Amino acid sequence: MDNLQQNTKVLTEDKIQAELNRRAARKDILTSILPYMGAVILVVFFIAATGGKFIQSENLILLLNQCFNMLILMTGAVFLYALGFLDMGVGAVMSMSALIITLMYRADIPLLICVLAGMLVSVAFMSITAVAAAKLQISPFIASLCVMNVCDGIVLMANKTGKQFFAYSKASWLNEPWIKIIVLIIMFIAGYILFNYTHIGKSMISMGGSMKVAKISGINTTKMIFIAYIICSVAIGVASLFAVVRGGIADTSIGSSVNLNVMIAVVLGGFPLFGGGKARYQGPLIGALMVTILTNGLSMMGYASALGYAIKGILFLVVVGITYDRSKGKLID
Amino acid sequence: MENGNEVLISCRDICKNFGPTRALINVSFELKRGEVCGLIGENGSGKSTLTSIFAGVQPQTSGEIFRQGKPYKPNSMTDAQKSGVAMIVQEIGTLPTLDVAKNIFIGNYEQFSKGRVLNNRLMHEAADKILHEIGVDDIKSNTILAALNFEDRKIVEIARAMYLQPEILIIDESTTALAQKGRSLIYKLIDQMEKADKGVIFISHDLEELQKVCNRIVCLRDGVVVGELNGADITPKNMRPLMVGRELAENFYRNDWSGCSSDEVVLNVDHITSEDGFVQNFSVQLHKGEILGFGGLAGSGMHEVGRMIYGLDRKVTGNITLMPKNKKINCIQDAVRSDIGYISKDRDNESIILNASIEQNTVMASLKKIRKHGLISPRAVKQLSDKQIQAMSTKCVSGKQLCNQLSGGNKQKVAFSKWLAAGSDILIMDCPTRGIDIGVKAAMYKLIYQLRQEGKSIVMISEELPELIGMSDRMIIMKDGKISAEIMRGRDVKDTQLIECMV
Repeated sequence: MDNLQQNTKVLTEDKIQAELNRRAARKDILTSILPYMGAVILVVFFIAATGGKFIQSENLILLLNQCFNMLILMTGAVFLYALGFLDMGVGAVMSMSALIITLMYRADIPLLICVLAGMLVSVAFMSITAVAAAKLQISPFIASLCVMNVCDGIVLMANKTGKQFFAYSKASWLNEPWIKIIVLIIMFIAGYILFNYTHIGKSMISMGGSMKVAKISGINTTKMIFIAYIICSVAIGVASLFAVVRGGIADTSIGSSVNLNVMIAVVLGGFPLFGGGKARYQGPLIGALMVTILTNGLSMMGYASALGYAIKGILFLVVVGITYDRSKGKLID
Repeated sequence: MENGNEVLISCRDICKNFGPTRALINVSFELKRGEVCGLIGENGSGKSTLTSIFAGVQPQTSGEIFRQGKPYKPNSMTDAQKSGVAMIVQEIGTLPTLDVAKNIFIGNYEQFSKGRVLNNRLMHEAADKILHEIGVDDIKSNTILAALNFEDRKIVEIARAMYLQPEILIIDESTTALAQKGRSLIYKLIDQMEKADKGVIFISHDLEELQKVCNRIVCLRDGVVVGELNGADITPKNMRPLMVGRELAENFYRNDWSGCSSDEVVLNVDHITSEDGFVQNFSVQLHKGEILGFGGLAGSGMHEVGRMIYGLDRKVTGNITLMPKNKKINCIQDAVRSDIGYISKDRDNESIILNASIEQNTVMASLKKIRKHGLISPRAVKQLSDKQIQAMSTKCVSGKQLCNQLSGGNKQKVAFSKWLAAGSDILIMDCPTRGIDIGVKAAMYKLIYQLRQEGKSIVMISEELPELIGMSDRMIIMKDGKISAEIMRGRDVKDTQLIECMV
């Protein structure tokens, strides 16, 4: 009799354990598909709300143009976020790079060389933050704020006597949707492989989890920090080219709201803001898509962009609230 | 004495889940007046979880708690303290940016306030008085906590618990981190509580210590109460099988007493000096297939020597040479490239990444080795990690599980796995069994011995003398940054002999 009781008890225990495992698995799945779900829900919602106008081809092209620069930027910025580095200088460096590209292109230098120069200038400015972070133990957040101001200052000065125009007609082919899609696919695949299938990406994810442990495990952390900033600079160079071709003027407006949008996209994509083990490469890109869809859809529905900001803010909170992992068994951190 | 049997705190059918992990399963427990109840069990058996629920740190998932017969549901630690339940925690539980007085009276500033203004002078006087009472005049109430060392911070915590004068005091594995000064303070505190007919719950891995201070022992295993010992039955011999669930061989160190290893030198440490000059002109040679033990008191410099050999701390003079290749080791990357591994004493901060998976942690030092044409395939990662999980019998759901969900012993297994996966030939282990329960400890000793038999060379820095004597082929005893003795393995090596060389 006792034995029987014991057996039933064990059975219920097993059931409880199985249920708990299921719940944890469900939460994991939820966290990983939430960004996709969010994007789909947004699209469906806006299709319904705008009576189908949202997926008309003109709007899709507009949508591509709107989110393109951010997506390109993201393919590189993800590496910084994997390290857990919040960078405030990305936007301003992008303006800076656009300025260089514009000035050189106007001097009839081949476009490819102009873009390379833009990348090099980005590397130079981003390296300031990298040196601060890797060598001087200054928080990259603080250092990047300084870089932001320096770059913005230079770009403002260059625009003081007259706007720096990029002659639109000279490179209009760069505005073709198919060019953009090809560039995006190449950048994404390159970034994805680098992030998931090389020791560079894996080292950076480890460093985001714990810089100290990564270092003690033999990872060359200084080198990796520089590589992350260089990868990000390459993305900045490409993004700035397309931004200036589309906007026509190389001024500070190119990078004005980039920093904040990048951060929102990172969180919306389910990417841990302070780096670490759970980082997924595609997350922030989905996030960037969502931010753009939201902005675009709201303006189509006739709401001022001011409301868009408010909604973005609320969405930010909700997503962080749902995905943030509270089940820490630790009492005092 | 008529209320001598009054139950101070009891609980019935407590369950606690952390995600899919069941930390406590239908635990019932009671503590009576005048009892010093030791809570034992392997890492991850649920001891800390149970006590933290009592102390108001976190709520239980289900079940009821009674405080002197009345339902008890504390919302916070302060709440629990008001009901007379205070806790000294395992990890450091003080705030580094506040001064000593503010830490002692945290949560209880009202008594020093006039209107809305806090009277700092009054608070510091009160704090100094408490510190004087417990006999630690060298800690001043206006010192910022961060300026104190680990041990003194712990003593501030003890002072806080004493000031609160709780009816129930919970001490969670605090003595592991303490040297004699702090330990005797805790014993004094326990003694006081017992004499005042109050209750103490004491968590510790040190079985001799438990035997000394406890009058009752409750044992947990995998979140379930598995046994209880009273009075004279409380002996290490009775406690061990309770914890592990099976009989352990009396001697779980290695069984051979021949300390011979090959004469082939694999690492030559030649006159190294630390940056602060504490360790000067230190030389030692490590042989192939040797377990070289380092012993000494806290502050003897043995940990620093380990860190310097690995390239983690800088050295200002001398050479560390990998033999027979004659390769100099100057930084961590040199060491890793030469197949040297290092397991830190500070596991959670220096050995493993807590918010990364077992897989990520295991392959961290082998990333460059598992590359094929510059790429790392997920399958290679999984293979390498699964092999280690199996070899070490790490208890986990899968390789994808995050390390912060593992128990202390299993975390240490992951830390070992990282270097075994990397195929290290020389392993520097700083306190490899610190804070690990007996079952895992035995497995670790077996593993270390097995590595030795495979011809790997091991530097084992240890604070535990039995472990040092039981495992090492050769022991280097350090004092004040210098070698004070070198002792070969032998049946007749006594710990008193080692202690003499340390002090």
